[in-house]
Amino acid sequence: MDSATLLSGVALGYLVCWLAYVIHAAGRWVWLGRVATALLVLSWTLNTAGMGLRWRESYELGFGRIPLTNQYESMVLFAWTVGLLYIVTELRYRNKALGAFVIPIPFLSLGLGSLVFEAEIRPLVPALQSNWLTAHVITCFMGYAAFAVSFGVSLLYLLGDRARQASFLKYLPPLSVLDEINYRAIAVGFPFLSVGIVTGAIWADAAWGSYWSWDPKETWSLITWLVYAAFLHARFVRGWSGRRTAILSAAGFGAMLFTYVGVNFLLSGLHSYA
Amino acid sequence: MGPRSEPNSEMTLWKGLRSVRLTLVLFLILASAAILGTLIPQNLSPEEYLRIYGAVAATLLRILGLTDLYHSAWFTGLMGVLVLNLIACSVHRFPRTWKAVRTPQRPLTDGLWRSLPIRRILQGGGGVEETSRAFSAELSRRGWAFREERREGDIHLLAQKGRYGRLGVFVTHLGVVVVLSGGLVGSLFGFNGFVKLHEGEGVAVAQDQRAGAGRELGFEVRCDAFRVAHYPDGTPREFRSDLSFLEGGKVLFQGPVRVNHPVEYKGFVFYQSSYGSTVRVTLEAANSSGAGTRLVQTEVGQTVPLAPGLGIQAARYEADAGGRGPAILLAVARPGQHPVLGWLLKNEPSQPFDGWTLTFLEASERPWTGLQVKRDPGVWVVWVGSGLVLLGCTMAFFMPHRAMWIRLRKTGEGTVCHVAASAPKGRPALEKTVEGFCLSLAQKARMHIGEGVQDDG
Repeated sequence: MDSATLLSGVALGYLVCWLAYVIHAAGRWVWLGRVATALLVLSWTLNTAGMGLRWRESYELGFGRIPLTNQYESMVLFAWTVGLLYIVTELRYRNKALGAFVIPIPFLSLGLGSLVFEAEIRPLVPALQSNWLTAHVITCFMGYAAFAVSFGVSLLYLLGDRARQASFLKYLPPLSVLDEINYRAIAVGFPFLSVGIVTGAIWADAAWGSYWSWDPKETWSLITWLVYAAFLHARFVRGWSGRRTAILSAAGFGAMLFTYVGVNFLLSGLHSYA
Repeated sequence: MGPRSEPNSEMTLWKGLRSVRLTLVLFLILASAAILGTLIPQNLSPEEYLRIYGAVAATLLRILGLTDLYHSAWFTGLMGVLVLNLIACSVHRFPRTWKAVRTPQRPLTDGLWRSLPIRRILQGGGGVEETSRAFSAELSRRGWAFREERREGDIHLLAQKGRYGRLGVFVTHLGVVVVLSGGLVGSLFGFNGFVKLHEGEGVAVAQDQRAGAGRELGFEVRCDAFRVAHYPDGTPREFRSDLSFLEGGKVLFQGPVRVNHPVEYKGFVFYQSSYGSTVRVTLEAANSSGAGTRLVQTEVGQTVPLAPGLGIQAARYEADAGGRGPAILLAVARPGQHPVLGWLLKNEPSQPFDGWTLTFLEASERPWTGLQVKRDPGVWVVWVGSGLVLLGCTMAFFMPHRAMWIRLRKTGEGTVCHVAASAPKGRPALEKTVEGFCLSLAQKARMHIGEGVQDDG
């Protein structure tokens, strides 16, 4: 089996996980939650295997390169990082309600990636042949994934109150815990995004001759950084919490999504790989 | 305003400048402006703006500085205000934080106990000294820095974690200011230019990308060879220029420049940026009126006069035109008229035009390499600032400050312990930590957790 087929299968795995989390959150079957987690760990492991397989396939094609270099591969990586950070969050906070809101993200990323984008493995163009590639891409996507988790938490927070009254979402954690997870996720995502921007700047200085040239990708990463910086200042200095920070966090995710996907398809610039 | 109100207005200005509300507003404005700059194409020629937006809107864009937004005076000004705001906030807050970091933790009093958010009471039958040893061992095991203080028969254990994490925010702010000053240094003292070199050609002057003027490099840079390597499927694998740097005719340094691998010489960094080739073609022009034949040499893209009022140009060159060998697209023009275009295969005479018959004899290609030449004394400042930002973020997020107060007091039956804790960030997490701490002590020192969690004050 080739990696592209395996990874489309993993997308279906994430879909099943998502449904399991949703039914678990709405119903009363405790066992279904365990099934959802087990399936998620399995899907994520296969996601890892798919990336490893793709890496090996590139060596068989004769040029060998890390699978982090185009839109398709980045969407596989995004699913992988979100899966990883979600599993860590679930283990740490012992709550599965969040799964219903976060797991659709790896499903959509991998599913759309498989359906829409070219999965062909091509050799690296000169601009991508750099030692900074791995560090830059991984740190950016760890940041993106942390923001995706915080977005799921924010949705749960904003819908939570109403859902509790309708006695949907049986296992909803207390809102203060959601607020805490939201901050924790951003406290992980913000430094990762910062490292991603700095490694990107160092790389751009070597490849494009300028560490910052207001390329749309650079500019939008700065916009995302500013929104989350606003979140942190609003929370710690002005004492915002709850609904208002949840809304800011969701706005940050919107900016992040535009940085990641929107810039490539709606704006033109140097950063045309993914 | 009279002179008397001046100190007052200075105070208001200072208060406004150090307010975090201003920071949030600036974030919002800067983010919106940055978005605008990605929606309006930047740095196009005036003609293109005219074509896209029409006369009125194009003029408006230019007046508002929206065609080079990120370098406009108002955008730079906003960044300046952000820097002032950042400095003001930090200067205002630093002394207090520094004092808090330096001041030793005070022992737990009844008043302090009541003010702390997390409180537990443990009771056990052991003596004070014995219990204190158990507590100390548990604190060390869990990585708390603590000291012991004895007062009026009580033993106080004063523990902290992430004491210096509170300085992280100042380190981050300093880093941002350093990064922006690096950018300023670069834009004031930096140089960004371009050289185009044919193989074997050398220059000592680089063209400024913005001003268009030339700049003496103080040495000569020569391109010895330029190569493009391909993968088997035809995609480019490498662009490479072999450069020599000469002073007084002597080669002092040699090195290849590739994409991602620039070369630095005497503070100027050379980047592989573009490539192409200059084609020289030789044509034979024969005039039927008997003026004889002559050879015409020209570069692709240049117009040469053939006769008064008649110009010819080799507009394009194809090394292999549809499998029929080399060909040029020839344009013949009289002033004020549309040029007549026609493909000319090698060694095949053209149709007569105004009595002239043209034959394409030969073409020679000379590859050239385009190198970006940059000097930016601010780059290192930017890297140092970036390092500070990352260090500061790490301190602020991964060394959260936590303090724990433990008071051991002898009672008739043994020892009663008051455990209290506070954390400005992440209180639920600390609550769990304290819970775990108390539970493992309850086990190890055979104590039970009392009901003293509710407000007894």
